[in-house]
Amino acid sequence: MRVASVKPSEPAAAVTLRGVPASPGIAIGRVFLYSEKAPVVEREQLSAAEVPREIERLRQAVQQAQQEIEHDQAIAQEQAGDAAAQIFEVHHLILDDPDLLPRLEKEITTHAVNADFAFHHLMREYVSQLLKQSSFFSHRDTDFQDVERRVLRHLQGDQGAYLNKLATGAIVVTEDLAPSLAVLLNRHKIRGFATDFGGLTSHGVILARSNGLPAVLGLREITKRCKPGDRAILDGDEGLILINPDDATLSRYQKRQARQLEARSRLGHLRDLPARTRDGRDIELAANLEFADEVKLVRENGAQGVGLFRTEYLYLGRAEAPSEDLQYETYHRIAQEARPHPVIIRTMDLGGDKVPACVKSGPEPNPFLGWRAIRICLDQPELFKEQLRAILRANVLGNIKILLPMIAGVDELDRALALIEQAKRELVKARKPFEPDTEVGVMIEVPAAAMMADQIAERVSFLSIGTNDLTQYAMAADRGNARVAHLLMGLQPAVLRLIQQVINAAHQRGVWVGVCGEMAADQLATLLLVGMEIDELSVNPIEVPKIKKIIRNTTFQEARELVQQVMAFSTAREIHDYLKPYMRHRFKDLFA
Amino acid sequence: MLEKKVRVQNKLGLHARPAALLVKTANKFKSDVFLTRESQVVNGKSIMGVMMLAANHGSEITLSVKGEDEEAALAELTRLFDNKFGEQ
Repeated sequence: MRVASVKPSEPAAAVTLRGVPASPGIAIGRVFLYSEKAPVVEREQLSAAEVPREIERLRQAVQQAQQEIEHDQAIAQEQAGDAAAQIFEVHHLILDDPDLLPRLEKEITTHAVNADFAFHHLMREYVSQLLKQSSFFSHRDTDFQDVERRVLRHLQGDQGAYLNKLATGAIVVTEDLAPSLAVLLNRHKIRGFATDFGGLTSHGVILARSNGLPAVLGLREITKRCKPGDRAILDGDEGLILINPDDATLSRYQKRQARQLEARSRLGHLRDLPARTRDGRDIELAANLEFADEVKLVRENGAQGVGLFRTEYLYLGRAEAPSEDLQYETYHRIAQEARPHPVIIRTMDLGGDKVPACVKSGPEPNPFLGWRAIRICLDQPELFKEQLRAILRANVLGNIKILLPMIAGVDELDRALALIEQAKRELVKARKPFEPDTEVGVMIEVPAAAMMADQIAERVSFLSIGTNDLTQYAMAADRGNARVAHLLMGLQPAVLRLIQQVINAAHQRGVWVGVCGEMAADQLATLLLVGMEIDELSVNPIEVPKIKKIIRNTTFQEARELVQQVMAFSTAREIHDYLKPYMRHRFKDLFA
Repeated sequence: MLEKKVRVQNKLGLHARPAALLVKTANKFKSDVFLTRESQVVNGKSIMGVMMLAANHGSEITLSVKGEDEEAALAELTRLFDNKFGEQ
């Protein structure tokens, strides 16, 4: 953990911890400390006369826990789909087990012990037996813990009131987000949450993002450093939590929060308007998504569909590859929500810093130059075709397109296209309906592919430029290395030339081009990309209104003239020094 | 009573999710369902029992079904194993 050192210029608070920003925004409220630890269980010796009452108490608690699980399951189903609801299915069956009550009743009767102890004891026995028998169950004992906590809560008279105590507007501080907790949190008007542990793929994060709640994870010991009722500021942009801040800090954050809310509402009226320049040039403005649950943000922010759905999170954090059916359901759901707008699904861009368990790769000295994305897919065609079949099947509405990442040249592309054809033949054989005319596009992020963009464009329906990787590879500078970070700063003229070349090559072949990297969301670059004749921009949903505002307040003519000027510069510094004041002057309120 | 030997073909074995699927399916039928692995016999309608089998990938299980709808039950349960419980 890093405790931010408190310099005079930095926010002053009794405790300031820095973690991983998981969901953006600022929340100000009181701490609600939620402990994930199982309640304390004491063994009590009962008299024989007390036994029947104890059994009745147990039955009631189990029944109440069952009802609670059904309720949570319905919420999970509604908000997060089948995969989330399945977690509760297992919990339900554990409590429904025909052996459960008889065993517990026997334990209570024979030993004259309290129901709490009997339940706790039985769960412990199951878990230890499972662990003894096989190691592959170890990650599953959380199911038993979750069930135990739930039943004990009812036995100990909490009656599920524990979360109702949540004051409206609380910032929930917890060790980790159990899936069941995340669903429950969503029912209450909480303002945000902070955790000691937990990864970005956890379900709570997805729910936080799709509900616009700030969240900070990985604060290591936040549960030990604050008390219930403490005043707290949660900064989901920077990944900070400030406990009991001083008045000056508090008022600074209140102003920042007000500004954010105001900016959001000011841009709200743009939602249903097209991203069209004053002289009538339309840009397709789409949203990048990482999780299916974020799809409602697309419409809310006025994006025209999904320009990039990253499928990596379907693979990460699970022991096996997601099944074809699970993928199908996910893609189909997004396509349905986004229609009539398109949804561009990028096939797995794994490797580099994202290695799931189902891809057996060893450590590599240069992972970003190594075995990743399409390279893995071409070597593991079964894994790849499973995803392709799911996409092809999901495209019943006809608005899904396939995007192939990390293509370095025409030979790789041809092999990938052949596998797509093979996947179609497999679906025909399996008699599963699919869309044979699903469009395919290529991600241009390897400079070699940028140079071959004309020949690549002849084989596909569209190109999408991944500016982050394209810049890193073109400048030969590692994104994670601070000593060479200056090479990646700003808009590099070499990269702008590559982009222009790709756009021109594609247009000559009658193929449209988009940008889905960070440059698309860089407000300094928007006019340039418009002037370079980009057809589509895909950005994080939250960025959509700002980019739309710039586009609607310019003309294609202005943008072209700006490109002409900027292309004459020799360094990123010169470009920046010209663009910054220019954009600031033109769009005062956005660059305040 | 009907009996049939099946093999666990999904990579992760009979962990919680496939166990849940199996138990749910077994519970649709009136017949009694038992699973035997090596010398261990468990109730196929008990998720605890099925998970206690700790049947990993490749293990052989004998399904025993007894009751008025035993044929349909055995067919549907066998299909679950053959379809790898919808997993890999």
